[in-house]
Amino acid sequence: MERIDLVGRVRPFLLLGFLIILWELFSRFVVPHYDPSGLSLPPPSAGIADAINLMKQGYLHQHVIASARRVYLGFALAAVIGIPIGILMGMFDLARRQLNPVVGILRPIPPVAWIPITLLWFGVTDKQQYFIIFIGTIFPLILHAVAGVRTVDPVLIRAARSLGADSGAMFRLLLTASLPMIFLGIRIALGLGWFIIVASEMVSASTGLGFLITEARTAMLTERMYVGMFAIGFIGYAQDRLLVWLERKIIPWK
Amino acid sequence: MGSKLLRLISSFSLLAAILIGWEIVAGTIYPKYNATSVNIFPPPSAVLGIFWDLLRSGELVTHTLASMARVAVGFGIATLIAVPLGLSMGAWPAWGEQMRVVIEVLRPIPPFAWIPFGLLWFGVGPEQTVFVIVISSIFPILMNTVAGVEQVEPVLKRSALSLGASKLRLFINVVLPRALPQIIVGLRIGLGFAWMVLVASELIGSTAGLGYLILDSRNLGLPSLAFMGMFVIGIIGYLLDAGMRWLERVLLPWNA
Repeated sequence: MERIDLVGRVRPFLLLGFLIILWELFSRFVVPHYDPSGLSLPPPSAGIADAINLMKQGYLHQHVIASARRVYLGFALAAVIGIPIGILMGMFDLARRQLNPVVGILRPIPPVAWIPITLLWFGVTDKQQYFIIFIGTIFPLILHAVAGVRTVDPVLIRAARSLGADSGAMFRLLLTASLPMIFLGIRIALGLGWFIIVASEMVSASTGLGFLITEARTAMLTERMYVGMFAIGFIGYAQDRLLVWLERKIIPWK
Repeated sequence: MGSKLLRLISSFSLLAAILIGWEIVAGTIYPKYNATSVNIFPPPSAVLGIFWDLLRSGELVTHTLASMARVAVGFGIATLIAVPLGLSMGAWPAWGEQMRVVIEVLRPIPPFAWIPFGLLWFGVGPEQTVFVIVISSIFPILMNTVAGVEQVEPVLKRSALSLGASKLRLFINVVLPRALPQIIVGLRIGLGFAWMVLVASELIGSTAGLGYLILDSRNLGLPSLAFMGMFVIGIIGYLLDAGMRWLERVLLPWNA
């Protein structure tokens, strides 16, 4: 009975396990024939060993904290400005009509394209990183807030009106009803934030996970590049799970 | 008709006010306090000026074509890998289940994190950029193709089979057309990713292309060049997206 259960649990990971073993063997026995140093593709076991080593030294978490601070501060700034703008655009025709062209022009510019100009303005500083995260996360926040307010069920609005809701009550209604969309915007923005920080830290930073990866490349420590890469992937994944859980707590009616 | 046009024009008044304000502040007020203000915050007229200069010298066209070629090759390779792979995952559930685990491990890795590997394996140059574009646009195309195949209604499949369709015919005549809208959504997202990653990849390891051009503005201390490059990148990105939307409407009129 228990053995059958075990097989069922292991089964989905067969291909993944096979590929990891293949990679390990390929790196150990094939790569050295072409690249005696083995630097171009170290085995996964080397990455795991380096990860344990870096965690023991406290080196990894120091970079994780540096990146996290940039992502969350830049995001917080974008949320404080972007969500109210989005709500305003959703509620008032005038605001939407005037702000749409402005947002429309800025939004297609990839966040990383702001890196050179911000380096000219701020130099290699944390301020520059905050700005990149800010500009990279504000548009999904604005657009989802607009969509959230605009897609509130008209029946709800008419019902509230006929029940004699004043403007304060109407505002609260619109805000509550658009919460799921706003939250989706937050989830997307935070995911993007962790994407962008890597590129930003690769170009200009002396701390953070993006820096850790570039530094590992210049130091010819390929296995450390694996560590940085999977650390970011893991954080992004864990953050998303956490937000999904939080969403169920905050918006139970969804 | 007239009032509609007026309404459309009036909706651009804030944007116009911002541009005029920017021109006045950066063009006349700021230079009075700082003689080198153009090197920090150039007015839009300076941005237009450098656009005109580079357009006439042909430099802008060269970099744009270099970038477009990389995206075309990278996105093309990604499509050729991801669509068949996604179709196979949808067609054989056991294989799909296995592949899904592998993809779930790789997918949360930011596309930009592959840039150093591109540099390690291919060195500075177009190959690196193409590699990073392939890796980053593969996932959205793949996931949407799988989703597209999975959302085909079992009723459709059963009726085709009961009408005597072979497995191959079922796939070509029923599954593929039904999955196509979702596949095109994946292609659109993938192309957006490709364009975004292209800029980062060219910023970090390239000697040509629009990403390289804007990084060069930093070395030259020319923010007007950076602004110009940003807008060109934004406009091309917008046009690529609009092109995909147009393609969607033409190919799938029943979906619009």
